[in-house]
Amino acid sequence: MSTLFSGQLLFAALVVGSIYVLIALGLNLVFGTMRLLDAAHGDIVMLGAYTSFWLFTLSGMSPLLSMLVAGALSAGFGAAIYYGLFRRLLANTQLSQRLEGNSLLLFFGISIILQNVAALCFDTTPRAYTYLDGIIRFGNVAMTGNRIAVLIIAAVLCAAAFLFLRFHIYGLAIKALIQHRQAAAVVGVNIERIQLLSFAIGFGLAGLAGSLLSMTEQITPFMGFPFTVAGFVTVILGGLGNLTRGMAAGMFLGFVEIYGVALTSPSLHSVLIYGVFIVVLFLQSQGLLGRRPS
Amino acid sequence: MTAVLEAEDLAAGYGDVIALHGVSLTVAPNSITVLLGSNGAGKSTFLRTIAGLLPTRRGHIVFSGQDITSCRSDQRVDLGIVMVPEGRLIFPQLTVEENLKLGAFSPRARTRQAEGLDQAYVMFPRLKERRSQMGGTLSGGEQQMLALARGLMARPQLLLLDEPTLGLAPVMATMIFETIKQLKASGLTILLAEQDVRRTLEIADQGYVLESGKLAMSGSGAELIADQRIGSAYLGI
Ligand SMILES: Nc1ncnc2c1ncn2[C@@H]1O[C@H](COP(=O)(O)OP(=O)(O)OP(=O)(O)O)[C@@H](O)[C@H]1O
Ligand SMILES: [Mg+2]
Repeated sequence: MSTLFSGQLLFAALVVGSIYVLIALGLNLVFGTMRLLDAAHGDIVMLGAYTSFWLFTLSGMSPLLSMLVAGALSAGFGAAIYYGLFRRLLANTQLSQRLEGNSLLLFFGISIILQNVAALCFDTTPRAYTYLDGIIRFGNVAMTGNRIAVLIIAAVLCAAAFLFLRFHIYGLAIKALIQHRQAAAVVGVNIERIQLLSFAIGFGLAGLAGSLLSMTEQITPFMGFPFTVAGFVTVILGGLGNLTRGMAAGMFLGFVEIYGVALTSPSLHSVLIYGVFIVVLFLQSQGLLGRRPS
Repeated sequence: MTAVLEAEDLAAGYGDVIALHGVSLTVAPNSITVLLGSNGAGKSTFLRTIAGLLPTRRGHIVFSGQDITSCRSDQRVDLGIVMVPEGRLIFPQLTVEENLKLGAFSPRARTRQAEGLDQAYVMFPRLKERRSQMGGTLSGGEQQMLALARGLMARPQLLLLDEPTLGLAPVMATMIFETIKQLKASGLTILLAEQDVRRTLEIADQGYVLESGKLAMSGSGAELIADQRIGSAYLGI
């Protein structure tokens, strides 16, 4: 039992939680502003991870640098998907009625394509590289340098996202669009530009998260799906479209996962996440948690 | 003087419903022009079409001599056509101040956001007191003030007001009418749809009456007050 109170577990939970926070924020931006259910979100994480893996393996580029490449590529991919697939669907009032369901199918298709293309190009062998894996001790907590880097970078990204949404006029416009689409148009927000921005930021954050993950975890073409699930659990836990609560929920899920596994067994890892999902859905249907603001 | 707004044969609707069947009217500079008509006559539809929130199905909209029929709503706000919608449509989970800042989202207004905030707080001291409160927690009257102040943050040339006194206590309604007169005195042009026909006509330079999406009557404020048909239909005389 005493291990439960160790700094070691706390540190592990913070690292996992901070990755979930980034993933949840991106998913929530895309859902909140456009009602699109991005079932390929975890696969963007996978692409970000491979970007850093290959840049490190082939050219020795530090992941601390290649994460910018991964973020930019993912953001560009998001923008391309918005322009290619969703812009016209969103503008058409009749099609936009059924968008939630249709988007789930479309993104599911994208997810399958991305996984298979990645499996074809990179084959399915799990890959990893070592970077900053020296052990640093604080008191009796042993941490690898790469995990510390993940935590710091994720914290900086979260803080930046939080400040952007709070104080930047475009951040306010994103929240405005989430809360009241018609009112956002009334005040002169260029809706299409904000939607594009949400796609770019959302996908960019997923790519960054993947890049960070590649420093500490093995990567495979199919690594994305559990993150998609974790993302949806988190977003529903925080209330669909509720950005700050979604971020808090990401951290919460990281704690549930790490402490849950410590209390039970590593094989129950997925069961715990689905468990939270089911409990949340159950509580929500009774109206206890995070309803979307109407 | 060229008109601020000219609508020519304007038609618009929702899906299969056509709510506006070819309405033409003009709004003179620095005037208060009012739209009257019973519920469902098409007043809001007309204002939404002018603001670019509904696509134009037929006809043209000319603003200060420029054809804006194909402009997006955000472009129209940037040109100076600003709507304060029916039902206020404020952002419930943003603070009063954030609501106001978003009012100055258009590039033209954004550079003068701070100045606009000061002016809004001078005009509506109540909003200053409540600046960090969520928009959704304001009373109906306060929300109307916020919607109006948010519209003014965009530095409009033509202000479209859709039933600004709906559901307000008489004192509050009087205050809104006073504000509208002040805004005209400060140089704004106002197009107003209102339920309170008598008070609206008293401040109106020009009035138009809509019936089932068509123009039924028009005239100066004084002419319409004197008109028997208006008296029997809207003033209960
Ligand atoms: N969103 C909508 N979808 C379908 N029909 C609509 C919609 N909004 C308005 N209409 C219809 O268009 C017509 C005109 O409505 P509009 O809101 O313009 O009337 P109004 O003159 O503003 O009425 P009120 O005084 O009640 O506000 C009505 O018949 C109404 O039922
Ligand atoms: Mg109306």
